Amino acid sequence: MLLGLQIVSGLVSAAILFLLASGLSLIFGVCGVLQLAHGAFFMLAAYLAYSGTLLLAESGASFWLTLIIAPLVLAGLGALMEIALFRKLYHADHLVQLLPTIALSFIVADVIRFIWGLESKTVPFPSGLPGAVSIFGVTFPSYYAVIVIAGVLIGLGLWWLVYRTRWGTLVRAIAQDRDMSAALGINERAIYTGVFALAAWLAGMAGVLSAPLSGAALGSDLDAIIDAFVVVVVGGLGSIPGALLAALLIGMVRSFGILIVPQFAMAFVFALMALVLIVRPTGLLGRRESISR
Amino acid sequence: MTNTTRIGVVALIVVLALLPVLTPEVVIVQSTDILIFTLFALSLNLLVGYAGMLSLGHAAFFAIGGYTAGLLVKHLGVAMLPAMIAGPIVAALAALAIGFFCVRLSYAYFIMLSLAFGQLVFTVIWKWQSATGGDDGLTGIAPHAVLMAPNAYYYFVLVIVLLAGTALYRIGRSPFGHALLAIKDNARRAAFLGIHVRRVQLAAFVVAGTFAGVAGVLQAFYHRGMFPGSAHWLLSADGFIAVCLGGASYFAGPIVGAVLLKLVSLALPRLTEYWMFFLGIVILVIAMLRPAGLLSFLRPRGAGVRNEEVGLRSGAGQ
Repeated sequence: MLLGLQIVSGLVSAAILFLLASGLSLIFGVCGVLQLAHGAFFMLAAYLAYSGTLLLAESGASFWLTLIIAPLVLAGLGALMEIALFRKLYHADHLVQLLPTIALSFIVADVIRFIWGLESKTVPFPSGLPGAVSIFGVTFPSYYAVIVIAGVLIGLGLWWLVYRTRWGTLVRAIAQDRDMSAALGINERAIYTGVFALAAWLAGMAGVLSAPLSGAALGSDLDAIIDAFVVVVVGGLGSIPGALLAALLIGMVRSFGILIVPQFAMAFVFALMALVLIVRPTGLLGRRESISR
Repeated sequence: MTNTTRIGVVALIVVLALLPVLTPEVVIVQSTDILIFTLFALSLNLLVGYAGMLSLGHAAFFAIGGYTAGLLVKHLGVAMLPAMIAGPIVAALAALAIGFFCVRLSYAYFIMLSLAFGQLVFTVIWKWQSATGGDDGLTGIAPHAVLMAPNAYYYFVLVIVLLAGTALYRIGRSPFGHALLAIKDNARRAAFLGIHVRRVQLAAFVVAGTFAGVAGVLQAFYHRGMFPGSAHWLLSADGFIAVCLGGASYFAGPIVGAVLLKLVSLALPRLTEYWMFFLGIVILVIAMLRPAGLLSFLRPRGAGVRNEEVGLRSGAGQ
């Protein structure tokens, strides 16, 4: 059942990619900022997962507690960053918006190096899970199921939040027309802070969930941000359903690509991206772009 | 160019020409590196400052230029000069291929794609062990016997960087450079004026990639080899930071930024192991306080800190 296992690992990778990319897409769609430090947040969450599981080891449910706490810490950091930095940059040049996000990723990377050192860390699979599960004759680690279920639940939650709550309506209003929303009396600032916090929380979830699989290592910030970029480009910038579709596609392409040419699985992903860019330059579910900034 | 600037430029060139006479060899060794990096930053600013295309993958073309020259010398026994010409040509072709995908109407797509493709080039160089030597690098690329001494190679680099810099300056003031500024200002209006926006942007991407390739071959023969780090995003980011620190809307911005960044990254690691942290803080502070770059200290804020500085002032319409 090699095929079945590849599908499952494709779904696992899709869930992580979706969590990562939807936050990036959300910040860009609502605030117009391309948050390069998003990958650094992902990496920080993986390290928090390492320390969290160690510190809370006596509780018996250390991983699950970390899964709750670490993303919340990141959400706080995200909100803080918006208030201290990005709030002053919304009306600035794209160039001026980008530079602080690069600086932030340098800073976060060095803080991690300071606290945790150069060696990469491994995070054990959470306790209290059966070793493996079998569905339709496919046997795989039960933790894979946890990631996929978490991805689905968070995806549904995100959908509910954005399309079924008052907050989501305000977010969509701002994404559509910032000036008009402001004129109608929407408190943009609170929304922006919330969006940054939510995106950082999503990156935190992605980081903690992927920690038992890939550990915590310096340099994973860059891999994460590039993954998120590719998903967002394929799915369409600013579109959360697009991020979902693209995450599924890329997760599968990567999982099967590893079977064919293990070293260059990334090449298949790029081939897919190139194809999408030629056929649908704005991504699978992206809005048609007009010729202006 | 005003008379004061002209005198300043001449004075700078004289100082640079006398540097080997005035300073010990250590300074020359570092200065050669700084000159090469300055050319890299200048080439990047054709995209960032003139065209408003924020590339985060520019190191790819630096590396492709250097590796091309290196591979030709090492595996085919090509002489230094033809290899130095071939490097930028291959970098230009790569820029054409990658630019085809990166040049999009939205600035955000361009940023994401340039970073992703840049890292793709890095991964290929890093993993294609049999050709590039992978992590160990491609070593044993010696320059011509005449240029073996540090001082000789310094002068060689100085001449090429000055020529390339002049070329980039001229390109910025040409009708093509003005078309880029027009697109940066308002792509839609530029399109209505009959400028083929994507074609002009692609051309800018290729020209910038070519000059990055020139910087790459200079480094290949200087370091006697090429290493995968030369394609890494950190070099792209360094270039981008240099451009922004100095000021993207000034021709001299990347020069000031490149020299400053190189000096800071030479000094900081001596003081602290965690110099990236402090570098990040410095960038953050400058970005928040001086968004138009350090050169904006010399010129008033506001309307002045826009396209005029890049060379429009003496152009038509004034």
